[in-house]
Amino acid sequence: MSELLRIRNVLIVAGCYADAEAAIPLAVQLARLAQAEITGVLAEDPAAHDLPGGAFLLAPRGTGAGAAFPASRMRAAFQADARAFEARLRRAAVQEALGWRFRREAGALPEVLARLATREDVALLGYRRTMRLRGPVVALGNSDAAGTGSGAAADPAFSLASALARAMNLPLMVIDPSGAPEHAGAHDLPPLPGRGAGPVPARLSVPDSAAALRALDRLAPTLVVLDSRLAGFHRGAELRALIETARCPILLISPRGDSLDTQPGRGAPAHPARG
Amino acid sequence: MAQSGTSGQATELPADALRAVCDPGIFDFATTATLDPLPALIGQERATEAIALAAGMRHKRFNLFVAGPQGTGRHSAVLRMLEEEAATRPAPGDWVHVYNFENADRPRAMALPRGTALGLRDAMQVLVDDLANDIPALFDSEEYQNRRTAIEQEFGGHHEVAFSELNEKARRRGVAILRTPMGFAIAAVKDGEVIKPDAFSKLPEDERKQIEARVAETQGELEEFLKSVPQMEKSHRRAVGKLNAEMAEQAVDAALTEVLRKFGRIDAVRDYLAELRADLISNATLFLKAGRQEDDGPFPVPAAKVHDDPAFHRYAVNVMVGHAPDEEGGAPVVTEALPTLGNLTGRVEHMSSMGALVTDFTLIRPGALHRANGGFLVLDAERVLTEPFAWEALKRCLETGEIKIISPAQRYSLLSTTTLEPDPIPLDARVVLVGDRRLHMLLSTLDPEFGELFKITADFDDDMARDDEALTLFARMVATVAGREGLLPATPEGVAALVDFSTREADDQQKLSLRISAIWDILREADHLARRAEAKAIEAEQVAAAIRAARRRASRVRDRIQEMIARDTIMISTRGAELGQVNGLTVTGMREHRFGAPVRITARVRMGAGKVVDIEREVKLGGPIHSKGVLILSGYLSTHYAPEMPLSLWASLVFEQSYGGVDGDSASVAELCALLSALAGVPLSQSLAVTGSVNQQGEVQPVGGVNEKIEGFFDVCKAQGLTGRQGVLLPRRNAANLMLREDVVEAVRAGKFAIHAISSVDQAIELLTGLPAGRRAANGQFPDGSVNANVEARLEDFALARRDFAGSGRDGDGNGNATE
Repeated sequence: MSELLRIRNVLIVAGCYADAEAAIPLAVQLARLAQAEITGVLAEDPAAHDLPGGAFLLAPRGTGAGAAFPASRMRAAFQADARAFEARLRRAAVQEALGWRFRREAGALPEVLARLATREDVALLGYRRTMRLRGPVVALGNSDAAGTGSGAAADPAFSLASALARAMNLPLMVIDPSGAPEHAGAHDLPPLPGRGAGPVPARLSVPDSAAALRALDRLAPTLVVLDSRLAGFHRGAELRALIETARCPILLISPRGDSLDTQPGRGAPAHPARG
Repeated sequence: MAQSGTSGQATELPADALRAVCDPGIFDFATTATLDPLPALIGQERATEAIALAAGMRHKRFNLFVAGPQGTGRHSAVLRMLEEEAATRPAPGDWVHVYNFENADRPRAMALPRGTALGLRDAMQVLVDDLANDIPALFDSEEYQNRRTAIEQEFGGHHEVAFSELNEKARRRGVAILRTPMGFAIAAVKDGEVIKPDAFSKLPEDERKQIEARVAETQGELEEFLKSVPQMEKSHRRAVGKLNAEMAEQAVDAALTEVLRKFGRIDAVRDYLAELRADLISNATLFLKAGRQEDDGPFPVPAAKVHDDPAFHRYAVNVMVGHAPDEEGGAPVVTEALPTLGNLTGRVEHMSSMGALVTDFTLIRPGALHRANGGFLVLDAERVLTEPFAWEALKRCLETGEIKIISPAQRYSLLSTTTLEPDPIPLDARVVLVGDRRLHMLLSTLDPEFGELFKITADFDDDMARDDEALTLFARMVATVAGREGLLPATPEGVAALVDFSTREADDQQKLSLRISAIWDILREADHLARRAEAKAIEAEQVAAAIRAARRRASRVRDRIQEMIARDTIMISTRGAELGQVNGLTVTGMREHRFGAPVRITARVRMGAGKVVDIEREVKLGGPIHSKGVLILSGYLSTHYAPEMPLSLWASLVFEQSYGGVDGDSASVAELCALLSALAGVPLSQSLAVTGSVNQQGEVQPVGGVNEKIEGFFDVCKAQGLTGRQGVLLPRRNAANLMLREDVVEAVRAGKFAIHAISSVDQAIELLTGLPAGRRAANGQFPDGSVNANVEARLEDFALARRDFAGSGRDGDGNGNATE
């Protein structure tokens, strides 16, 4: 993967330790292949910090049991998560002899990502899935940009997604939100150029990003890979919607800060309605 | 020198009576090359009958103890006879240990038809290697991927749809579900943003309550959703497991087809393969991991031997007793030279892993009992008894009829580690112990289980009668050994010389020694000498030379003693006469290399309280039998002379210049003669040496080692110059034991040396003193001037003197000591 040669840093951004822990192994694998460093960032959403104590109920993940917690305990929880995130990252990086950093940042995930990411980074947004399933690796992107065998440069997101699917022994799916008529299952689109004995991807062409989100909503993917410049997903709100819909780790190629518009609301798609 | 004493029975033995010479003329062959070999030992019919019985019997517990001295051919005879019997028996089958899928600590033993075990082991190795390739390929197949994807999509779809709906409902209610370090947080949103605490507190109460209600409703739905996740995961795992099992089943059944084709007709194997199949299917992921590990690395890896990986040992077959399919049959005859516990019953080996000792059933090793199962096991008895735990373990196995592997470390809790209890293997073997008679006696006396488990004893004789038939058989034995070992044949003269050597070894003119190893060693050495002389056959001179050479090699100590005597360092007189002093005779050394030498025995007497002091015993250099001899002669003395008076004698007896310990009573005649000489005041001839044991009647009893003793004294006399008056007194009953060296015989023939056979101490005294011993007359008196009369008179004097001394009132015990 020539695109790996350009990566200098793998950025793991997560809102809590559980999400980060799910992403660290993949990040380490990427960093090892790219000979890059790893930076772990705990994004502390102020919305979580500022929850009015006593009036809002928190359901601890995975147990289904509800309890009310004072907000002051939230700050202590973030503190503990930061320590755990840093320790886990250090162990993993040292084992592979990789350079690493860790920091805490205030802000929601998209905002933190926009603030810290550079062109030479690849960002992995952590997300711990509630159920361990072997869903596909999904590449979000324009299939024309993937190259149709005419010699055009392949979309690095597709290449990376294909390589990761092969390494993880998972199916690969391509969702193209470029506006072509919606299809499901087998397609007219010409096959992607082969990358060795990689998986033959299933393809879905959808009219827009909202449709792409609807498709993702039903898929239970293991990983979503996309170029952050992809139309419909480069704004902060769009990215937030993607995170909430995919409900899995997201790997962003070229997550350069200025490519991410963190202004909420402008042009942001509505949360995908139940189709 | 007296020819016969007044007691009438001392006899000077003629030269011809001193050695039984075999006449080569009785042999009817030119050389032994023309003789038929003998298939069996001679003279051991009693023992060979016992061996044949033990070999042929099928009843358990009729194990065999072969007793007898070394060198009688016990081992070779036993092995030969057992191998003959074993050849007539069916060959035993194979035995293996396999994994116990129900209890890993108890590996199962499996009996297999002969020639099967090795093939089964190899087939299982191939099966594991094949599955390591086939299973990963199957799980990479399009069929599996499609079916797996379908399962993931089904469960994922349900899960995601449910969560998506929950999120949608929350959004419609104006509630957001946030992910925080403490879990999900549910908060109200307005204009896409979470309502902050200060803004919330400013809301009207009704609105706040509505928000709280929406939050609560969302929280309830989220709780229900999260509660359903574990059940969904369980269902998902089951579905995936079922798929994996179906896929694995295909690969496993395909791989097992070949194994079943080859071995499925064997019930035990078929049952085992059924359990194996189930385990393979449920542990298919082992093969997935093995397959994936092979892909790591830059180079293509051909099909690897994954069966060596410890993870797959559970599918291995550990061959305990295996035979090649074309191996020729017959029951086994096994010898174990080092019968340790592990070598006998097998062992469970351990490996070090991460600082602990671990094991599995592939580390079970067979022992000699396993190898001998169905046949015979021959062991050296002393070695078994001296190896810790070996004897007990052997008895347990024979008693229970099972070979159970016992670890002493485990038994005594010396090791805290994983260990195994393999299934015991049924034992059907005849055990033969070979040992000496002393061991047999000890076991019979002290170990009650011995008699129950070893009901047959083969007692090898030391010698056999020397008659014409035996001599003929002996010649055939020589032919057998020569033929077997590629030696030159022997002429009748050579055979006759070996016969004489055998008779000398037997210490009996009427016997042939059956300690054949010494005889065959002489034969081998004679063969060597004959070849060096470029002879075509072994003659008497080579046999004689071999005998001389063997004696010379062992005679350094003997020669040193002779030298010391010659130089008068050890004082031995062979001329003149001395009071209370006599030449006794001793024999020293081991069975094969003995030599005799004279020893000066002296006696001193005085008045005392009736004590005869055995100085050797006093300083603990005298053994019990020697002490017994001295006590016996004391008994003779006290009852034969002056019986009406208290024995008022103090006497001391000693072996002069002897510092190495003395045992046996063969010098008691000499000691008594010295004592009588001292009492009678009559000197004893130093030209004569005396050997023999005396009883309380004064009768001379036979002793051992007479040939060596006579030759030892002869050599001293010869060194000091033969006078024609020298000789040896020996018990008459030992005349049959004489097989003297030819030079001694010739000296006797020439009148330069004499051998006198005596049967009473009186005869010995007469020969030693030249005076009549004297027989008590009807009046109770010994004849005047006789030795016995002098002895009695002296003792009477002692008694009277002692009475007078006591009557004088002076203290003392009569021995020169203060009264106790």
